[in-house]
Amino acid sequence: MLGCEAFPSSIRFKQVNHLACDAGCEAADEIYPTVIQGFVRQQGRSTLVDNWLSAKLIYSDLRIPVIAEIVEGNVVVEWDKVSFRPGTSVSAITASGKQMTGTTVSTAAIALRTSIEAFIDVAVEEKQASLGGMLLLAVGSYRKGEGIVIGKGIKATILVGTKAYTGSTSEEIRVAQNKFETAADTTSPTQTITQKEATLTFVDNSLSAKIMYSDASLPVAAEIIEGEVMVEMDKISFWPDTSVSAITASGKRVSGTTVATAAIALSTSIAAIIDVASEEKQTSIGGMLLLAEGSYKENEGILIRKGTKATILVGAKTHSGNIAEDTRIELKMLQTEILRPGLRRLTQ
Amino acid sequence: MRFSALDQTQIHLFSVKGRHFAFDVNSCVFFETDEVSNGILQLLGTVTSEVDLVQRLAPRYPGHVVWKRLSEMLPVIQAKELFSDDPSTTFDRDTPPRLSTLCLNVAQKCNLSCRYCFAHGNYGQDKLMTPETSAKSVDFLIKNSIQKDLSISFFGGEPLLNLPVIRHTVSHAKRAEQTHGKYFRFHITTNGTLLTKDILRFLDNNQFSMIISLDGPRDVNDSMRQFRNGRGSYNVVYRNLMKVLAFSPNRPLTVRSTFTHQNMDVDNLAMHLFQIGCKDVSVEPCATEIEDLQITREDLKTLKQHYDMLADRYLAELAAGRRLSFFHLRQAMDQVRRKRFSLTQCGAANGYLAVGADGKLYPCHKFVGNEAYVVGDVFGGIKNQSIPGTFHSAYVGNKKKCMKCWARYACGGGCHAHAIAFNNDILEPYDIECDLMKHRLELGAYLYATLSESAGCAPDPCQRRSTVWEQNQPESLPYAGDGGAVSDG
Repeated sequence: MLGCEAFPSSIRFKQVNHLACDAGCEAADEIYPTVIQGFVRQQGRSTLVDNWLSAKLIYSDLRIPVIAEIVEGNVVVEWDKVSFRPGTSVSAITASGKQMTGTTVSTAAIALRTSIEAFIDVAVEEKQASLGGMLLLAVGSYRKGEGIVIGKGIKATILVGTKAYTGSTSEEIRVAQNKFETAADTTSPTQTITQKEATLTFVDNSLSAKIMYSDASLPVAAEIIEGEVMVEMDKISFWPDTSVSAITASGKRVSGTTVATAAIALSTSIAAIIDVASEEKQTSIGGMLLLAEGSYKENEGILIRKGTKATILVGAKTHSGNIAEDTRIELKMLQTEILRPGLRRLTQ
Repeated sequence: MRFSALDQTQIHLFSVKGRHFAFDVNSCVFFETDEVSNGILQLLGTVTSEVDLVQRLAPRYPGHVVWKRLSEMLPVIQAKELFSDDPSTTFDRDTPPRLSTLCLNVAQKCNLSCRYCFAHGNYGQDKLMTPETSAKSVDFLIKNSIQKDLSISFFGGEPLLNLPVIRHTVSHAKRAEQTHGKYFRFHITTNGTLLTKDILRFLDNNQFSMIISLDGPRDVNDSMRQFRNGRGSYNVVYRNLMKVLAFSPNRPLTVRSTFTHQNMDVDNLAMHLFQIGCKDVSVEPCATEIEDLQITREDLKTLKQHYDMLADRYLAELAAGRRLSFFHLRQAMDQVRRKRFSLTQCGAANGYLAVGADGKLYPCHKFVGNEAYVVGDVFGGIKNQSIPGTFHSAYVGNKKKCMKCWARYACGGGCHAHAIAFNNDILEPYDIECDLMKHRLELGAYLYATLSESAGCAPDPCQRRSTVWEQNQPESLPYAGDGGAVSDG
């Protein structure tokens, strides 16, 4: 354990090169990698707002052609993802030709560059009650000026209402992105904890969660029993190619590697879409979505209270309901690594 | 953040021996960066968005690494630690510095005839300052200064050829301390050939700091620094130097060498001086128009390689715990550590004046004998106000070349005397000096970064050996105009 008060005392270290305190605080201000003084900084994150995402997605499988089009949607474009915030106005044309208009009830994100994936739970404008979700799940790529491109023949799933359709994209899909203006998003500051001289990152950690849901019709249980994640000060990240496994509602174990980046923000909520590819084929075998408000405490992990609204998606099936009992997601930190900072101020 | 608003010219990115650095031009703050952050900084002012940046760096670095580094960097930029604002609008140049240092050329006469001497081995007619002139000089300094702490530097020629006047000046100044509430610091720059125990005792008793000139190994020194009969001076100076080190080991003593086109191996030169026991060493380029000695632009590549080698050897000495000081690299490390913001390199013609043997006042010791730069004299005071005004105006903000240079506020705009000597324009700095200054600053960042890691603590380049009169010492080696020491080359 370190004696430095500035550093969160609850974080357990197995491997820490601890020389700084022996050299005195003055030295500790200067030295990498022995410096582990930290401070909390509130900062606004610059984001692009009022953008417009437009996509026409056409899928086909042997039985049914599916067309869905997001014709309009206000999103937040950050440097690594496009986010649909709760309350975002969206509309879509469903497979049956019906136009659905409403506002999103939860946050969804499309990671840029690596994939396009979004679960958009839509509520009708009048009632603000969920009328079902729409899931786009396909691996694509992002290019500046071109938006997101999903090639022809890519396996994809579209979910409209409670029905899921899985097939392959019948032609190349381009998700255009129009940026209208930029603004600093100071209304929802991002809390980051940074090190003065070194960023402390935990690697090779494991995430363990058993989450029970229930609604009137169906009890659902899912457990992520193993998963290598990167725990930073403010979030847990699943990087692409992370090995994960889970037990689904039917008791089947799903193992594979993540194909896209997902992050669970600490202290605010737990929300992650983990698109899993089978280890052998490296093709997507469906996604797993955990979506529920929770809270994070050091030593205790993430706590989701009983009764919290949650959605779980395994494969192409979604289940929504309420958390049946207090659910705690433990973070086990097995190994630490101090990453060299990218920028070290030399001048006092 | 609007990246297009970031002006790439306001940061200087450089690499030394595989380590990467960033320097903020306007605030004089140095950073060490990793390769990815360096790559980001190279492009930042040219990209349209974070995504654009990530894509342009995608062939070289994974996206998530770029994002992470960028997220570290953005708060630094928002805090104006990088791409900081141009401070030129805040310059207050209305009040020139008040006089605090006089350089007395007590002997415009020398017992050596060095090949590169700016006095060309003689001053036409040998002149010695009279006791009356030296006393008038002290009175002039007192009358024209407002500070309590004042400096007098004895210079030549060889000042010890006029020892009685040095003694008289010190005695007069000591008396004046009592009556005027001043405190004098004394300094002498000598060729080291005339030092005796009696002289050393006098210098110690009056807490003189000292520069002795010696150009390194015997063969190098003797090819440049010879007695008038052509005999090399090394043996005599070496013997006296050992005497000084033995007699008063804690004396503030710098041994200073001049290098020329004919001996640019500054690393060997400096290391020789360290090896014979010198603790504080300064090596200066020869500023001369003599063709076979002059440092040329073509020499810079070789010269920088020697500085690089010197940096490694110096680093090894410091890392081993030896408290040695190589002036220019220590000065550069000091700049890296402490953020010194300079608008001029010295206070010539204002905070600092040189007095010729006849009592005439000049902007600095390098102008002594140049009638075009006579400011006045110690008897009648300053008569030509335009010269101090011209020198005071010659700060970096008024130098076009400097305002395009990344090192401007760390450097202060170069030596006025060299600008005039080589370009005949005080606003046009001597470009070879500029190149060396910039290279040394970069080496200073490398040394400081390396030492701050390996030494287990932040090195203080200003930390000096303890001396018996430490409380009266300037914090770092003095510059002309801010502490009194001057060089003789």
